[in-house]
Amino acid sequence: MRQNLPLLLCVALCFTSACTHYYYAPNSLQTPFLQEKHDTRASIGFIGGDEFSGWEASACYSPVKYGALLVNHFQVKHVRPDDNPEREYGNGRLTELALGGYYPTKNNMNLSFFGGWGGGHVFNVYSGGAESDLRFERIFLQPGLAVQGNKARFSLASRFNRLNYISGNVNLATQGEEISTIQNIENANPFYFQEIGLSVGAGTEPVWVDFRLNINTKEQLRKFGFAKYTVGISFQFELDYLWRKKDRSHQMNSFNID
Amino acid sequence: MKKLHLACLFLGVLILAAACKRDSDFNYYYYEPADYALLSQYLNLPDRPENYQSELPNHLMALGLSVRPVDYDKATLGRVLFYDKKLSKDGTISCASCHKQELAFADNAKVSTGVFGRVGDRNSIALGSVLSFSAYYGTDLFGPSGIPFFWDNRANTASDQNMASMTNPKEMDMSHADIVNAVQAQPYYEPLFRMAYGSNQITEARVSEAIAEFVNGIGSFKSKFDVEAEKALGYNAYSYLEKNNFSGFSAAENRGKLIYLENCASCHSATQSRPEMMKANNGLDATTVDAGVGGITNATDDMAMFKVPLLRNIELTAPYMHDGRFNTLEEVVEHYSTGIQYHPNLSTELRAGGAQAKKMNFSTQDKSDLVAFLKTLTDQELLTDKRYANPFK
Repeated sequence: MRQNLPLLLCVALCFTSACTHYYYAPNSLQTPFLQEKHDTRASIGFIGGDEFSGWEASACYSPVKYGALLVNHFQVKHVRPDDNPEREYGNGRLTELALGGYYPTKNNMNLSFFGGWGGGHVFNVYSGGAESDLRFERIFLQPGLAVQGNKARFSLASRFNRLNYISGNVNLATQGEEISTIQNIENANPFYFQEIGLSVGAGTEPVWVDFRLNINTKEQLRKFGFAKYTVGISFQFELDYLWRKKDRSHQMNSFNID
Repeated sequence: MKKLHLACLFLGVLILAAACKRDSDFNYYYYEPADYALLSQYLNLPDRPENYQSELPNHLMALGLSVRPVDYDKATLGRVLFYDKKLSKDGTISCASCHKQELAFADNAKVSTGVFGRVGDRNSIALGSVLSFSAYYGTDLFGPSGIPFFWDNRANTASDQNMASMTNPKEMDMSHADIVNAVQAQPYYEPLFRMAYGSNQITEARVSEAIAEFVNGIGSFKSKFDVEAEKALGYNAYSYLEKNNFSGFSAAENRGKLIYLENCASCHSATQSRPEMMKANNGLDATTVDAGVGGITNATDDMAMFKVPLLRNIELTAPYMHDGRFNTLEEVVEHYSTGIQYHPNLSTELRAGGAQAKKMNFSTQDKSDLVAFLKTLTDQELLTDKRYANPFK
């Protein structure tokens, strides 16, 4: 039941949010539960928010003890649920790279810290066919805390962002409120804000399922078309398990020979 | 450990580099660049539509008048069509040939000349304030259909009016198919139709609607009269015209205002908002020379009856009357002073009683003052307003 709590919260949020075009949405805050050098994690999942949905993928590798490299990709589409042939539409994507560190403690806790840079764009089509395409860069610092047991795990992370819209191609046939929103984005650029990511997972080596909730904490950003939250489900694979198993089996074979 | 230090250093450099604010480069456009390049080959249009929404002054709003929203894309398309001579049989006449902006969208010819030098039947009516006599006022005395077009009131809407002119053999002499073909042949219409209608399908109904949208968007509310009425409204909302001299008017203009209110306003409107009646016989001829509205309805009571026009910009729209018989305002005033002819359908306002035509017998001073007042109805801004100007290069 506790694992369903984020999902229930997400459903509640879906029913209380207003319809709009989005110019930013938070991707998941990854806390990859690394333990030691050469740990390798890959995850893929579904993510969405109010009237948009998509997928995201992440990979993390520890080349040195306590050091890690993280890559994220996130893309979503915004489709209105009507059959209007001139319906409004939107999509966005983000790819980013981060470097950081982790520190596993003896009591199943795992502290992590990542800093990274990425970029993407958000494309919207409005009623009447007008379009806007905004390109952005984002840098972030992300401390995180994770707890992992044999069958369940939990993580909490906070991401401090600097989001900069570097360019935009905007068709002014976009009348009224939407064009004002874009002009406000240009004027207020860059944006500094914090996001919080919660995940609750279940599984065991080498596969985990995580339910995620990512919240943009800055209420003032709603007027810029920033999504308040995203929710998702992801499947993480501990790839290092495969070659560690091979190593173990090799070692076992060696013992047998001996 | 050295690797960790290097990684941290790399991370720090990365963040510092990204944190240096770079200027954002937002490019706003209305037409697709290729479309605008095409349009610019032929037309002087701004890179986004003009605002064609006229705002009524408060002294007209106080009367309960309002304007409907104007679609800027349709009005832009309509403006190009309005000035396009290719919409006539011999390629020499556009709507603007007989409705010249510098003349408040009237013509200075007694009757206008159409294609192949064909001479029209009546004087071109000024479009300088179509807002004031089209179907905007909803609940006004003319009902939801608004005030009809043409001297004989034969068109109920601006769309009907422009289609009738385009197909009139003495004006532009086009068939409906000719109109569509002429528009389809010009490359600049494809993006304009797409912006206005969401598709580039060209039909005579769309052509007509777009021209009407432009014409209906023409507003003329910045005359000296409007400025003064606006000021006067502030201290006397209900009788600002009758009870007060306008502070910005000369003595002659204020005297002329009173003469106008007493003798002319019952037909032509005290507030310059809308004519008080749809048709009238104003005693130009004792017998029916031109049937006017009667030529459409065949009703005896309508014979020699004509549209009652608003007098906004009247200074610029000579010659006057449906047949352009008067060249000056002084001649018009003299007609009402001493020249009214009795006709069986003569307006009751112009009768002395029974079968007698009224003689207003204005003094020389009265005539001069009345003309001075009529000239306060001129809106100079309209004449050069770039929103309504010829867009062709």
